[in-house]
Amino acid sequence: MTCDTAREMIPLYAAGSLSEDDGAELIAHVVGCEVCQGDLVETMRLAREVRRAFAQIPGPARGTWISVAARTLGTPVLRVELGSELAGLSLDVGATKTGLPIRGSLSILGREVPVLRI
Amino acid sequence: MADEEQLVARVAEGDGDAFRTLYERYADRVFRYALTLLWDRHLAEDVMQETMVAAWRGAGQFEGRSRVSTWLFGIARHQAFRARRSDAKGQRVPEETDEVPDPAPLLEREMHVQRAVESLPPEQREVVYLAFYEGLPYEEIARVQGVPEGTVKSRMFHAKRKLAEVLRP
Repeated sequence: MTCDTAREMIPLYAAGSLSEDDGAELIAHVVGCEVCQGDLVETMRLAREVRRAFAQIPGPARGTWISVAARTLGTPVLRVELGSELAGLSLDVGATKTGLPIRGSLSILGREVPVLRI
Repeated sequence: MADEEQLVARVAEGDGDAFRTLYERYADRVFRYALTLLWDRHLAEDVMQETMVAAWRGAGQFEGRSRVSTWLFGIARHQAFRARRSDAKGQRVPEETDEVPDPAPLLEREMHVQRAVESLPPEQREVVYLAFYEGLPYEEIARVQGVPEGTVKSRMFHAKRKLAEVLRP
């Protein structure tokens, strides 16, 4: 493997998206190449920091599902919310052609986790 | 992959539960991707909603040639460019929203990293997000961006060099 090829593969290795075979080939090159070794260490650090920074960005506002569902599945009839913006429980009752589905979600820091579906 | 394809197939048949599942799996990721493109929370939320509505309407056109995430990111990219154009023309009507969650407390280093990513040209920022956060290979990123794989590699090379300069420990 050439250093040019290794340089292209290193970001994918750092992201965990390189195939096992390609990863083994890359490591075999890196072991004997100081320049690519430095590149790999730095890229893995960058990838880790970028992932952590993106993960820290709060998700979309609560209730966006209601808007999407209203435009696709039917009209929301009732929404009950308990708690605060940091953590809470919401129950949604909708009206569709087939019935009145009830869905419950727990929300933590803006992320909704479904807990009930009837 | 087959499970994801089946999910989209059920959405195409009008299955509301399947659509809710698709939304739960991808809405947050589509939002973060749109935010990476636009760096504007309100526009990114609009784009996420438009993308999911478009996915509901267009699920029947998904042929399974790419990952579901690549398909959704492709729709989101198109919607983001439309949103950016409308915003630039002043056509966007800001929605009343008091539901923006409190930002999670960020450490100084993480804010520094976010600012460094923000300072990249949008196409490079997008490649960094799709490769490092989404774990997409160059081939899938090229499909989302509609450019040759070589262009994606070049964008990654320049983005990485700039980030390494700015983010020296």
